Amino acid sequence: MNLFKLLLFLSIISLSCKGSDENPKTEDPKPVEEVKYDESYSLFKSYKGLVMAGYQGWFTAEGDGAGRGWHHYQKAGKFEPGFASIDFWPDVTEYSKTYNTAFKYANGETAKVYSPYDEESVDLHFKWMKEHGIDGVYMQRFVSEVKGESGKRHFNKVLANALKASKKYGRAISIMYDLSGSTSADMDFIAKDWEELQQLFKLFDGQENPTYLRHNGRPLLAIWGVGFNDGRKYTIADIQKLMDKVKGPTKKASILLGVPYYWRELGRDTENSPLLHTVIRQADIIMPWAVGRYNASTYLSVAGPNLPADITWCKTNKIDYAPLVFPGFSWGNLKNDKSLYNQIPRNKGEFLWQQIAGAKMSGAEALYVAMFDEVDEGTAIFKTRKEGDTPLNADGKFVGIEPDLPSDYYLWLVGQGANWFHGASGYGNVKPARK
Amino acid sequence: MSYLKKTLTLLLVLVAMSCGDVLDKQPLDKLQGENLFSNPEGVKLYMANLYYQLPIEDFTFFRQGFNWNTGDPNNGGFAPAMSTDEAVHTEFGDFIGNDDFQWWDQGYKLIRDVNILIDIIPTLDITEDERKALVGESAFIRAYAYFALAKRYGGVPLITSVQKYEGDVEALKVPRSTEKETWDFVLKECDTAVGNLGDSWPGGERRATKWVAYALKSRAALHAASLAKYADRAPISGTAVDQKLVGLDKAAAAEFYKAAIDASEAIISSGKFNLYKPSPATPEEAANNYRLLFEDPNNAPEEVIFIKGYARPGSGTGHNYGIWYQPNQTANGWPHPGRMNPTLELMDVYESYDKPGESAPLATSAAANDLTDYTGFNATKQYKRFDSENDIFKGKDARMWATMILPGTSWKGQKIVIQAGFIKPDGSAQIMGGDPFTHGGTTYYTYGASDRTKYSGFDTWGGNNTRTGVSFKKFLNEGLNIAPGWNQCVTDFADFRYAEILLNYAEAIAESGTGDKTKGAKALNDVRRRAGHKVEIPLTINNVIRERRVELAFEHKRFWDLIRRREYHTAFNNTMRHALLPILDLRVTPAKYIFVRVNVPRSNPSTFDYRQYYRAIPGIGANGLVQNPQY
Amino acid sequence: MKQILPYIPALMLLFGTAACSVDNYPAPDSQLYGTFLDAETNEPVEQDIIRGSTIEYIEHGYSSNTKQTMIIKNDGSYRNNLIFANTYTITPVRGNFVPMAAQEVTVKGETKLDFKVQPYIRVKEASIEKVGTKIVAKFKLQQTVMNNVRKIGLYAHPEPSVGEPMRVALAEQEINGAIDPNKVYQLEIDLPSNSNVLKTGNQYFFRAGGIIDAPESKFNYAKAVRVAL
Repeated sequence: MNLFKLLLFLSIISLSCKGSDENPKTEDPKPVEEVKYDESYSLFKSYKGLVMAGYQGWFTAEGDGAGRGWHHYQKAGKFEPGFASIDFWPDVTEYSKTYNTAFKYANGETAKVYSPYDEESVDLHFKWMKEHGIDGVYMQRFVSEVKGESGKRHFNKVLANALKASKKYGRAISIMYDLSGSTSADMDFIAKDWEELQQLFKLFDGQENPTYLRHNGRPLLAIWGVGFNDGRKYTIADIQKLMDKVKGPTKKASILLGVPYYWRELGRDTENSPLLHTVIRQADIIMPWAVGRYNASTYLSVAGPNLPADITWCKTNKIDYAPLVFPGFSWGNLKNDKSLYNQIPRNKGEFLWQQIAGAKMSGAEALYVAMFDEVDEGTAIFKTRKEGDTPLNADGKFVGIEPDLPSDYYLWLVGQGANWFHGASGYGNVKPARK
Repeated sequence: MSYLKKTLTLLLVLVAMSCGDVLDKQPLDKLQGENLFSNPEGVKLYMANLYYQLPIEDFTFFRQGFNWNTGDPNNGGFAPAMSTDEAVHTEFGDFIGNDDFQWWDQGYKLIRDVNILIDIIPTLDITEDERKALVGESAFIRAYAYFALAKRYGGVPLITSVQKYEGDVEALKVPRSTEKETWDFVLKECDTAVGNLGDSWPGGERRATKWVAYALKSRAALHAASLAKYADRAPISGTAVDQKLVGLDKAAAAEFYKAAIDASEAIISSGKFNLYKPSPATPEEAANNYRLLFEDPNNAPEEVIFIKGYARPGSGTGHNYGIWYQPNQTANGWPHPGRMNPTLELMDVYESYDKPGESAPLATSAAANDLTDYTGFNATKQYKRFDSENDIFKGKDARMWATMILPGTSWKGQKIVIQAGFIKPDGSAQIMGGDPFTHGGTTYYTYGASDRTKYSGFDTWGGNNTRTGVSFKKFLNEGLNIAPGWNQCVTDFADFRYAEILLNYAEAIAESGTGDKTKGAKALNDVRRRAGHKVEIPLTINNVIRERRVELAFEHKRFWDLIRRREYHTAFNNTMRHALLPILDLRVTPAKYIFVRVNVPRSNPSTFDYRQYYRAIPGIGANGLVQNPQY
Repeated sequence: MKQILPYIPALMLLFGTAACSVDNYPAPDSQLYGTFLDAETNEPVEQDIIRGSTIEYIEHGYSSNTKQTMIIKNDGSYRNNLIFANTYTITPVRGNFVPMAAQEVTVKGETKLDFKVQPYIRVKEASIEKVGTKIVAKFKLQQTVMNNVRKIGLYAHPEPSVGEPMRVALAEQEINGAIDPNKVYQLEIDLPSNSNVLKTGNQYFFRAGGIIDAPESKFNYAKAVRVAL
């Protein structure tokens, strides 16, 4: 202890002497040994080879016990015809617990929704993943929401539901902090929240949570939203510090960073700061946000050269890479603009398969599917109602998936992609036919 | 000595300018509105100067700028058409250099001058009607200026009021707006002009009207729409692209096409305009009508929407088409005529009356590769033999006969002789050079006549004889002998005419898939009917573009069509332009004519780079603007 | 120095004190050179000398960040013998390879900098020979990215720097699709029908290649072959 104090004192002296030196070398008495985990119980030791989706889990229904009203379904405090922020309507035929809404189908039948606050509903989602061979999900944790008491309660409940279901169905699971709306001051909160989660759910206990995703010998934590140039109230340096805290001196966890699409060029959607590349090199995996960056007709020219260039960069810098794929995009109700219904059309899965094949052929080894259940922005792959078979919505509408597709079609198609990434043969440029 | 000469010329120019340009006598930055503008003559004078500065692409416009009819007007006889697939120069192969098609300093000078007026309008003691007209006219001028800038540079600094220098240069620097914002501004200014201008001017002055403003909007909106639709044909990258200073999103195409359709429709449905002589009985009549339309656009008040006038021979008031482009035989003493040589590419495009709806390339033999074989005369090839030097063109669109002087046709009372050589009875060819040859008592000359004043083709002497097989006719007045001196020609130029509006309309409908397709097809076919076509063709983009190429040939539209549709780099990728050699075949009696398709003699291939779709912004060291990609 | 002396007063008048430092700039005394190499095969990646891939470089220490460019020779090598010793940010751009990141490079004296790139297309097992009255090129293609191959071509020119931008005769075939790596592609230039540009008795260079459908991409080639006609 005395020795430590002395060293500290010395280092302060050296600091004050050097003055402007920005990176004083901390002189550790002895190097801290990196933590080693027993991974013998873990089912998923690497993201490589996996196809996983993002899981929002932020919807709630009135009467579900979460006490959050029609969270993320509603608009302007109301969830009734003319007031909805979702474009796709979940197909709740198979759910054991559903909630009546103010919406009705053309035949007068009341339209119903589900809530992920209910264990049964999350269980059903994981059951679908297993049925179709989708490897698992990243549970989104919205910093701006879990800072509040009701948000934290909600997302912890959803996480508990999901951890349980992931074990039951053998699906991989990991946690992804979404930093949208955060500030520099929230970094400490995130570190603390993350510690709490580890304790609360014994996330790192391989026996307790054999399905918690691991990467590079450590449990994986995803942090989404670093390097975007959309005026965020935290900096790349904040994320660097957060990563240091999360890893700690013993390198407790591996990190996946969600970065903007043009992260490599440091332009367009990306902050022009070389520090971003420094931070990326300190992470284990990156996942660039591709939603809205291209559509079916621009995909080849945008992603064609970009993906292999990204992958080469990552190989050179010895980090892993997971491209994002998404089935389409629609946010007419969220933005109150009818021209934004089906803004990026799904085209019966052709668009999604184009990206799966493009990623595979460019040398990607893992996929991130945005998203499992996102109906606000219409990227959901889970079962939703079909076009022409959605509830009425005053003078607006709900977009449905193509009427000639079965409602589990996008789950199936992602499952086909997962087969391909697992090494199955017979897949190529052409979207597989469903027999 | 030469130095002295130059100084003298410069002095003369300066003196001439100070005489002509009354305004420069007063300090413009301290202009007192009431002094100049209280008097209607003052307004007129100021307006005349603004109109004079408008970047109108007329007879005095070429690669190096506008109003090339003052000072030293010698531009070598170049025309913008020679940077396209419409024509080549008789001698030189200049294509498009970095300093070409610039208009920056002059642009911002005009914008400053019009902003002076705009700032002062509210303070003028004039009637509300007069004020409205001024607001409309100045908006039209500003729209015209920014259109000229946007089509060259993409997004540019939008300066909308007079900048005052108060000791800080930095405060005067305005960054570039995005290309989208710049086009939106152009269209908005057109709207202001439309909303404030009247149908016409009381004295019939050639000033902007509501209809001229609509016409400008039709042209500008179509330009922007095509840029948006076809941007991905020629992708470029760089800071200017990242900041959207150049480039439009594909999604913007729809709104721009709609603006082009709406503006064109306003003109069409106004009932104020019509095509000049819309239904000729015969192709011959159509050819004559079409020639009259350009020989003097004042012949056709129902068709011309906006005219740039040339008042009298002289510096700044006349132009030089009349001396540069006469065929050699009618040079009238000018040492270097015949400089505009329409290409075989253009000749090929014209339809033939018996095959409506497609180009009718000039077939010289039955060989399968006839149209792509440019290797020159081949003694073993079975060429089609024709009785006269222009039989090969028979049956093709009347406008071809009115746009070009074809070999063996009559011009100013002479038969214009264009011949590249002859084939001797033994089958040996004598092409472009060689001695006269006597056969059966007749002496044959390579170029068709004994004396170099009696033919107009292929001889390299003086660079005065066409090297493509045809000479130029459009805009030239057959009834006038232009004196052999500078700026002696006073043909007026129709900047906007109804036919262009009809074709803008048809293109916007065909390209956007919106609008009334029946009316679009009618617009296209109305223009064709005026050219003597009786069979209607469907509204397709290929049909519209072919029609633009022939109807608007040499009106400086082709250059911008290739730019806006991002077709320049495919049209000019190591591309040779081609010529048609009329050759007298003495292997048969009586002698007949054969034709050989060849690369333009003594020419080199041309290539258009992606980056040339935007011009380099001059002076970025001082103005601090983001340069366009790859400059 | 002697020769400059008389002008110094004039320079002083013009530039004031700046005149001294103008005179003190050293001449560009360093050289930068290297080759574009296929990261997988380590073979040079063929280029076009005009309208080809470009190296952009920015010299450090100037706020203007002016981009300068270097061209690359057909064999994939480049060389700049007149460059100031300094640190540069160098980026190969608009190329026939997967886009690369910028790199900071210190140039001093003879500085070698190779670029390891992933060519969009590898042209393999290429042969070009005269068969009767035709020049026949045969080759296989391997595409390394998902984009379509736009077209393939065989080009002829009197100079060894032959390529798509520099040719007097050509044979092209539109592909606009994915290529079959096992297929042998064949392109032919007919000599008689190009007799005005490919003259008997002269020798010409022929090069075959293909271009990927990506923004600002350039052709990938096999090596040029000389053929006497």
